[in-house]
Amino acid sequence: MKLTLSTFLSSVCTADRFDYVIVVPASGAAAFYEQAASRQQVVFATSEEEAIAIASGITLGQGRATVCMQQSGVGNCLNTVFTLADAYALMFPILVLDRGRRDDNEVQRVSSVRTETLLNTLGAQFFLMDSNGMTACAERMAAKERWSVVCLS
Amino acid sequence: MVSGLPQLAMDRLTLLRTIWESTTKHDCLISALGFLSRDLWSVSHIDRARCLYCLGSMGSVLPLGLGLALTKKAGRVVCLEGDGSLLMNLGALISAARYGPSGLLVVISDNGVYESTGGQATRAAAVDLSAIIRGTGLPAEEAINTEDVRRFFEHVSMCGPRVLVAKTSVQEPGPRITESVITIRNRFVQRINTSQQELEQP
Repeated sequence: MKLTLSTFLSSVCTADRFDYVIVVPASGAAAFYEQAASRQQVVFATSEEEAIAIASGITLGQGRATVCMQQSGVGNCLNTVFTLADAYALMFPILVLDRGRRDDNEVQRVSSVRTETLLNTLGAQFFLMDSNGMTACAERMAAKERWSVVCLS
Repeated sequence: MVSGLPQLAMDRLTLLRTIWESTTKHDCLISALGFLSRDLWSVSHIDRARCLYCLGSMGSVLPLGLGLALTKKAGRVVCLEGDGSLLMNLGALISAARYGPSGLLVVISDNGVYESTGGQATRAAAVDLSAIIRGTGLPAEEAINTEDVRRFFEHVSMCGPRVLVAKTSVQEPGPRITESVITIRNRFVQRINTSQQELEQP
């Protein structure tokens, strides 16, 4: 079954798993953002690094947070992941929505390819290509493993 | 003193000592990396559990404090930023204005330079930081002496988010922090839990 962003996000970012969803703009996620705002606290951060810092603060206070970002934002937040979240052992899932290698925007296609290397370096835990494996991905997110990645290509 | 840099009304240690005296054991202090964290580490030696000293991630203190304040697990959350680190993440002001709960306080030590990296000018002297802050919808106050700082904390017992821009001079820093970040983190989390239990008691 072809996976849509809204389907995936609605399935894994449930209120019983996360109190807070920290988001930055990501193509295709608008419907989920609107839906989530009615049941959880959704915080629209102004940048990816800010989103990581907000989620780190929530985790410090023992809240349950996840961050949603597009693959093009991964590079923006590396320092905050390294020197705040990882350094202080503040673990929460970061959901990367990959526009994929067949995106109609050439710049995003290149970003998708090059960001994959970054995600591997960072230790991404799960790459989801379609709806198969969505449950396992959700379980691993709930276990507060660091990265999850959705690839729509 | 770092040579060639301007001396203003209040030095950083005086600012931090005044903040320390104006807050309670239930209030959390989160400090920006560099000299602010080093000096807070010195000032807070009596009770370091209240403090989260950031040793990296410049510009992240305010959003980190915002996240903590959202959980309402602590008393007041006081974010100690420099003018340089604030400029690195101005978008955090907008998020603080939009989502910041009561008890989120921000104090900016504004010395006009990136002091920890050698004193390069931040250009903050040529920029009205308070006007930028007010432009996001946050109230901004200014401090040039300890009385201004004390007044800020007296007036914000349950209000927030609010921001204080404190004009400071350059100054040699205190000793380097010798604790591990995990020690700092675990002690801080433990204090948050204890404080929450005490605050919830009738």
